[in-house]
Amino acid sequence: MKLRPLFTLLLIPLSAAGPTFSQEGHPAAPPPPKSAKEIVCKHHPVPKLEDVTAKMGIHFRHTADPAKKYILESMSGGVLLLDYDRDGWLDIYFTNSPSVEMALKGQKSRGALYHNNHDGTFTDVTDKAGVATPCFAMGGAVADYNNDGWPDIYVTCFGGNVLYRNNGDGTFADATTKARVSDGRWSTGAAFGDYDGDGFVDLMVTNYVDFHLNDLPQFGSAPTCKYRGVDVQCGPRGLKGAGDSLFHNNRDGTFTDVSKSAGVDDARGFYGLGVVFADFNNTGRPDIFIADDSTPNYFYKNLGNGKFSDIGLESGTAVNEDGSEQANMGIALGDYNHTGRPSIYVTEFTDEPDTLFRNDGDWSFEDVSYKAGVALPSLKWVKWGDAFVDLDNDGWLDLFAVSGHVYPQMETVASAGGYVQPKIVELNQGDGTFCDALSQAGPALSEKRVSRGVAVGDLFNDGNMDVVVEDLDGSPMVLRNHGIPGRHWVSFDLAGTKSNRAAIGALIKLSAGGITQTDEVHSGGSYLSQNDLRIHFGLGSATKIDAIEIRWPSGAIDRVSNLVADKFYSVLEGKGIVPSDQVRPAFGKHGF
Amino acid sequence: MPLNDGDAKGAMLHLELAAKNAPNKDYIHYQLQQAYRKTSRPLDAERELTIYKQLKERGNLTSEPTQR
Repeated sequence: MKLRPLFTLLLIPLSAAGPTFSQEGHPAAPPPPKSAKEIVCKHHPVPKLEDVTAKMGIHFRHTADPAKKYILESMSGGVLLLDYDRDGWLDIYFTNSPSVEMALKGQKSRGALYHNNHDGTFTDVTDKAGVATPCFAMGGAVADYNNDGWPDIYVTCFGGNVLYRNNGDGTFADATTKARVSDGRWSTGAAFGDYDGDGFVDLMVTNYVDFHLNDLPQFGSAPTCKYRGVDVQCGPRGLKGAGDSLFHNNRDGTFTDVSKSAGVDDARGFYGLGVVFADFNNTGRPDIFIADDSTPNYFYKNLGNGKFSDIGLESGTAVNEDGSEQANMGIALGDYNHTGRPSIYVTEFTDEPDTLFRNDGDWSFEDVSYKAGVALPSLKWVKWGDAFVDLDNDGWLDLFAVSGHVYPQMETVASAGGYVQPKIVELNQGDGTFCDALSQAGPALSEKRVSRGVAVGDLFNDGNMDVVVEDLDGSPMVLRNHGIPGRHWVSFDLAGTKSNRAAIGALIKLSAGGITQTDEVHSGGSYLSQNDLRIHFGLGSATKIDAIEIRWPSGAIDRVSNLVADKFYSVLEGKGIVPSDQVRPAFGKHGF
Repeated sequence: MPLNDGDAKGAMLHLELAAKNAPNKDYIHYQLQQAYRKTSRPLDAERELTIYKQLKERGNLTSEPTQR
C-alpha cells in the first residue's frame, strides 16, 4: 500500500493520482515509493554460479524466429529436472517449439533429454527415450501419475499436450490418448497434485490465448500490436483467453476433465501461465495458484469436496497492492521468513516489479515487494522463470529469476530494457529483506540473454543447489553453484505408499541450528518448468538436524530425530528413513 | 505505509477519508477492503470489494484496448 497516491488524494481530492495510462492505454504501474531502496549485498558471502553448459556436453538449442511476429513464438522454453532412471542423479529435459513458418510447413523442433553421467557430464538420450518431438512444446511438469515409482513427464503444447509414461527402462510411451489429457488448446503451465487425497495425482493445466495458425493476428495491425510506438506481435490483450483444465486421475491410467464442476475452468478467459498446487493454509489439502498474464491471478482455495473457490482478491494475491492486474508469468513458493507458511513470488513484465505476496496466514497475503527489497532489482526487466532456493545454504531461501523481452523490436528502445536481459539473484538477509547479489554471483548472471524457464536442483549431488535456465533464443545455461565453504545442508527423497508415490504435496518441517524450516514437494511451478523433486535445506553452521516431521498427503505423519547433516536421505511413508533402494522401483517394472 | 507496518487500523482511517474524497478510484476501495479484512470487518470488506469490482468493470469497458 503506497502512501503516494493515497496522500495525494487526501490533499487533492479529485486529482488523477493512482494508475496512469501509457499511449497504448495500458495502466502503467505507479513509480516506486520514495522510501524504496535497492539493497546491494554487503557483508553477505555470495556463492559463485558458473556457466558449465558446454563443459557438461549440452548442445541443445531452442528454435526461434528472430522477428517474433507472433506471440506464439515468444513464450516457449520450459526446463524439467527429473531423475527419470531413478539412479539418484538429476537428468534434464528441455522443451522446444518451431517457428510459425515451420509449423505451417509441418516441420517440428526437437526437445532434448540429457542423462546425468554422475561425473559432471551429460549424454543426449532423447532418441533412445523417445521424447524428441512431442509437439509444439511450451513446458511441462513431472510426477508419477500411475504410482509405479517411475517419474512421468507431461509436456504442454500448442495444439495438444503429451503425457509420457515412463516405461522404467530408459524409454517413455505416449499415453496421452489413453489418459485423455491432451486438452488441445494452447497450453502453457501444468502441475500435478492430489487435490482429493485419493493417493493419485491429478493434473491442472493452464491455457494462454485462443490462437490459430489459420487465423494469425497480423504484426502491428492494431493498437494491441504496438508497444512504445513500435509495431510488435499482437497479444495477449486483444486476443481471447482459452480457459483452463483440471483432470481428475481415475486411478486406472485415465483422467476425467472436471474443470467446470471443480470451479477452475477459467470461464473469464484469463491468460494462464504458471500454475502450482500448494497447501497455503495448512489444511492438509492442496490449493491451486495460477499466474495470469495481464489479468488477475487465480487463488483457488480447496474446499475439500472436489470444488475450489477463487479467493484471489480476498486473499490479496490476484492483483498488486494498488489493485492493478499485472503481467504475471512465473511462480515461486517458499517459507522464506520461517513462519511455516509458503509465500508467493510472481514474476512480471517490464516496469512492473516482481511481486512478493507474504503469507500472513488465514488466507491473507500482503504485497511486500518494495519493503522486502525485491521490487527495484526486477523493475526494468521482463521476468519469467523463478525459484525460492537456498543458494548459500544459510537456512534462508533466496530468490532467483530470469528475464528477456518478448519483443526483439525493443533491442533499440533503451527505455524498454532491451531485448536481451540479465538474471536476478537476491539473497535472503534473514529479516524479511533480500539483497541484490547479481554483480557478485559470477559473470554468467550478467550475460544478457532471452531466458524463459528456470528449474533448480542439485545436479552434481554436492549439496549445492544449481540452476538450469532455458532460453528462447539459442543455448540454455546450466549454472553450477560453487556454494559457500563450511555451510551444511541436507536433502530428502520422499516416496509415498498410501500417498502418491512421488510424494507431491508432502510437507517437511525441519529443526536444526535453532531454526525451523518448512518445504513442500511441488510439481510444476516457476515458468513452465519443474524443479528437483527432492527437498533441500541449507543448514548454515549446523552439523546435525534435531528433528524432522513429514506430513504426507494421506495425512499420515512420520517423525525422525538426530540426523547427521550433509547427506541425502530417502524417506518412505510409514517407515521413515530407509536405504535408497527402498524408494526406487525395480528396473523395467511399471504400472498401467 | 500503514498496512505494510501492520497498522491496518491507521491505514483504514486514511483510506476511508480518501474513498470519500475520490469515490471512483478503484484502488482505494481495493486497499480499503484489505484493511477491513485485516481488522476483522468482513462485511465492510465485502462491500468495498464489490465497489472495487464495479469500478474495475466500468474502467475496463471505457478504456482503450491495451497491450500487456
